[in-house]
Amino acid sequence: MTAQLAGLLLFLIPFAGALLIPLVNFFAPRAVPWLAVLFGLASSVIAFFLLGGTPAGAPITLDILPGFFRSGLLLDPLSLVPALIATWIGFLVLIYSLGYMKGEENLARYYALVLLFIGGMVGMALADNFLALFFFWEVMGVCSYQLIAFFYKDPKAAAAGAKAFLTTKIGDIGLLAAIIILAVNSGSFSFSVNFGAAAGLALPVLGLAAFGFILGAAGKSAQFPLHVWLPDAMEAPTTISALIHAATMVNAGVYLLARVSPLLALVPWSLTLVQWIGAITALLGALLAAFSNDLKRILAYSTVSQLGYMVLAVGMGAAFASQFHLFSHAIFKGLLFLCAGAVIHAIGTRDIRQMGGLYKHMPAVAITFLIGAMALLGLPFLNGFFSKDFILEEIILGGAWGPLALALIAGALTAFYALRTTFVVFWGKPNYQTHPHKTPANMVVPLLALALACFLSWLLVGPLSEAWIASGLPAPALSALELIRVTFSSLAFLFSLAAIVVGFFLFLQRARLARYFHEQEPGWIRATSRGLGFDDLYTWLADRIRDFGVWVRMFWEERVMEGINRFAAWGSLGLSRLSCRLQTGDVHWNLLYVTLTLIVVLGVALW
Amino acid sequence: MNINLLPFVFALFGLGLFCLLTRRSLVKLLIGLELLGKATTLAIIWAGVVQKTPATTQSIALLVISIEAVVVAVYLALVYAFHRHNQSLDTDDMRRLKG
Amino acid sequence: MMTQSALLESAVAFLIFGTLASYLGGAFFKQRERLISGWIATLATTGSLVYFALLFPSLQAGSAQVALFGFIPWRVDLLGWIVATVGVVLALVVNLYSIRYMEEDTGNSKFFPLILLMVLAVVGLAFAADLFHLYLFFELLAISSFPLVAFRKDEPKPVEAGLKFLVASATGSAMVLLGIALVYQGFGTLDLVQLSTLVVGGPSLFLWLPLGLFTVGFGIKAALFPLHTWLPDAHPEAPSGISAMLSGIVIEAGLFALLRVYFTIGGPLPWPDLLIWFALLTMTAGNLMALTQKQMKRMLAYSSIAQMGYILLGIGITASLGAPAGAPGGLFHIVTHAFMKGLAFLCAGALIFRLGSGQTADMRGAAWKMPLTAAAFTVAVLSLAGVPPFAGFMSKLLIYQAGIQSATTLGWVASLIAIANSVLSLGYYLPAVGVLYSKERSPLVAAKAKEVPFLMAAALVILVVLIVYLGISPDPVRQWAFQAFALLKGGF
Repeated sequence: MTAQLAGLLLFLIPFAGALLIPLVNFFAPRAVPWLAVLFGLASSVIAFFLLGGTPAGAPITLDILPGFFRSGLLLDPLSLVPALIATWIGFLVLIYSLGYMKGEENLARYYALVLLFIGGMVGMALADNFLALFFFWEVMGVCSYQLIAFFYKDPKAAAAGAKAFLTTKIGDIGLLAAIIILAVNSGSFSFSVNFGAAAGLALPVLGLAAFGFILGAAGKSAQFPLHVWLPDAMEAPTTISALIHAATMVNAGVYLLARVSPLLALVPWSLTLVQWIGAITALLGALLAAFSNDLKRILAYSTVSQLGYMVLAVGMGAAFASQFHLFSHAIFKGLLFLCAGAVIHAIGTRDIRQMGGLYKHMPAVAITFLIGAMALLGLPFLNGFFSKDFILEEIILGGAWGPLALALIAGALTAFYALRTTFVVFWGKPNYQTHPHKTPANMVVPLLALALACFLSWLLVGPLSEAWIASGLPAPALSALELIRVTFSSLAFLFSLAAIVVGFFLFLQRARLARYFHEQEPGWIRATSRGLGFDDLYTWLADRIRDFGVWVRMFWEERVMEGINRFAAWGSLGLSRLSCRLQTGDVHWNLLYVTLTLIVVLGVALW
Repeated sequence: MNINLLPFVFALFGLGLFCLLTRRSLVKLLIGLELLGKATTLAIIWAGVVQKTPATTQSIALLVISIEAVVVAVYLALVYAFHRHNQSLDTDDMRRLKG
Repeated sequence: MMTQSALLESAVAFLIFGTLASYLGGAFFKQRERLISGWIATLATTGSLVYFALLFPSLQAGSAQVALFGFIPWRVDLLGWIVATVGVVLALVVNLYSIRYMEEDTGNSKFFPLILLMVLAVVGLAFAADLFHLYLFFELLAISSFPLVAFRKDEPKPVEAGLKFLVASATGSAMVLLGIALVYQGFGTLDLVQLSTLVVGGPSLFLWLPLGLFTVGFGIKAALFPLHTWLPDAHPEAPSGISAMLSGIVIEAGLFALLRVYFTIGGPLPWPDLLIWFALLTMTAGNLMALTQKQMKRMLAYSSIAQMGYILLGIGITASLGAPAGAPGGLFHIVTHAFMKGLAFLCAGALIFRLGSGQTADMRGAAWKMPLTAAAFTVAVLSLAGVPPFAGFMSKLLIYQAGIQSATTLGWVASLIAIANSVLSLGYYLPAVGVLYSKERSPLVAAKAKEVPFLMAAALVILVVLIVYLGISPDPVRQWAFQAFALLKGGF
């Protein structure tokens, strides 16, 4: 199988599955989950065929609208990462859902949406032009909205779905605007044509396009200031919130930024903007994660924070570093979310204050969670350590000291909340009444696989960088050994080690910290627990916009249109009454009309 | 023949219309209608004279007169019924239906 | 195979002897006069209809001179046949309906014969070969309809309506007759075919005066604005079956006569667009005045005036602008209007029959107790407004098309005004339907309403089927209308 065919099948198979599931649901609803898993398996197996590096030969192109629009597949290491993440993590989600979603209603809808999402993400990654990218981008958006609001009877879930949809929509508008600007300029949607033609654009226009792309990426990847939807998206079934959103979809924004980085490089301020967005997001996410008590929320904020690192890396012009971290992150964050799902499944609550001592009941989960957390905080020799250090190194090389400072503080906070969460959940004082459920085997298997991957995945840096270089993308030539050497000999290693130590110190002092915050309760801590006021601000803004819309509608409908209606009704009724006066009921008047008509008719004839 | 009856016919017709417009009694209304009828009958006869086919037009005129008689009969029956309801023959009492 | 004249004589004989038999039968059996008279009249119209159907194949070739019973000069053509047949069909339905409807009235042995006489007049009018017979049948039509309008002579309003109708009609007749006399004086003949050849070279001075008189005279019968004033009084006050006849075929007969005259001697028209202006005025005024009516039947009467405007517009567009679809559209609208306005009046009558009140407000919520009547009324009214799956849409569409086909500013404007009028007409049709289907019920409805008896329901169903059929597949009939005008030479 050629890579091109594999790429095509990779997103056609999930789409086919999504189409087939509603039909199968009619006569064999029980078969639906297994069918979905089968489709997921098929696409994740096919994904292996993509790993052959840069494919030789022409990519597949199709005339979607002959003469106007043709679309094709773009297979390079950059596009492979999201595609592989989507298929493989998607497959894990499907397996995990077998146990997790058992007995829920509307399973056909659930599985169809997951498959559709996988297909959308793969299509987005493999698109070779902006229009196809936008199309699949929106497919993802719709699926994620539907999945977040999957338990639509719960008003919180429905609201979270709407919030995610609207927030990301702001980004989508930016993306669309950017695409239109580029397409108008070059007359094409193709990446390569546009990157070539972009240099001819005036800087302000190009800047506008760059800003649109950044906005789009910020929306999808939950970056500051559009990060507000991701924590709320945790209302979704854990499988969805964990894997689809936190581990998969959010990468789309990073991918987009990496994809358009040649364009961003042309606009001087845009990279700085991206750096700061990334750094602020990293810090903000870590801060919010440190002060949350909801297990899934902690992980969600943590994801926001880690995505901040990736965006920061893109801002430094180090797309490879960002993708490398993305790769690692997908693995350890997927692991953490699956563990969290197992815990929540067992206890029935998401509040970590009601957990504790779970190690006794679910040692496998506890150990794997610990491994994930260590990878997250960047313990040496775990994959998170190498990729995060790589990013820090790039920042130091680029000399962006401001973002670096924020990133380091974020690193310390990351260490703090990772340790705190692990400890409170698995080793702290038991604080629950119910007897924990046993973890089903089909939930444990993915955990073990992912934990193993946390140790080993960084070894792939060699093949990865080779592939990048082979397909002409900017990347340093690194083997695994070299990576070790570079990492341990760099300044970044010291910095990150310091951050971890500070975090560990904070963790040790957590009781005193808690007392301090509890007694003094400084204003910013209260703000933190409310998402630092972003939600309030956006709610306020949304209310104002809605008020404005209501006013416009009132004015247009009630005043203008209703006025026209009323005038028409009043006018015709008035005319009607007036003309009815003609019907005097007097026979002489009747005859007068006749006579006058006769005179007029004859008069017209004579005249 | 040097005389032309048409002006007389139109005058008679106009008189009939004038009568219909101004007289407020149902009986006078009948007279107005009759004036119209007589004007047309005269016109028919005169047409025969002009076309030199007096026999045809006179038979037509006779038929027309008999039709008028039927109309008058129906009219008088209605007037009778009207009088029974209103004890009057004034057209001012005939204004129930309007608007 | 019977000859054309034999077929015609049989059809007419059914009506003539039906009139006599219906009257005598009713007069002899006073106790059951309504049933005997009614059924004889129904049978007579049925028989007549059969012969009209048999007549149809012989009309494809064109018109033919027929001396009915050896002395009445007729020319038989498809145009006349369509109008006559529609009249007979409508009379059949009305007879069927009135057998039950008139059960509260006395003197029914005169009611049904008068209906037959009316149809006879319509048939005679449709085929009359010369102006004088045209006038003659016109008077027959008028004389038979005066007593029917004032049939409930014990109430003041019908008498008043009859008087107004009579005065207006007699004035119109006098004008027509004067016109005929002037035509005779100018041309020495009244035969329409002969006239049509004479007009071309003849003295045109003699034409504008008679044509003006014809326009106004027949215009009074056809209720053109502002000659319509008798109609809103006469039609609602008549028994509902008669309202249906009057609105469905009698005023159309006036328009038909106008059409005949215009297509025969209207060639050198001194005022080219007069008919179109009349048409636009008539439809707008009719619709406007219908808007604020409180009585169901009076509203329908005003809507008849508006519909006359549509028919006249079709005829006028062909007569003065030459668009070929206009006159067939008008003729087709005569057919569809006969059925839909007939149905509307019969439904209104059915409601009055049960409720005893003609006020629209008293019919609130009647649909829930008289579902069939209300559904039939809805069909009729939507068809009148020109809503698609019904017959009215098809005929109005032809008229709109004609205006656009003519490719003149006037034609376009006329079509647009006609379309705007259809929208305006929904302004009173829909509220009427809304009242019937209202959730709340008027006290009268709560007390008295129940579905109409079988015979009346049957009459309604027949018309509903016709309307829906003509709406879905208008083609044989629509093609006949086109054919009728294609065959037309010199008025026949």
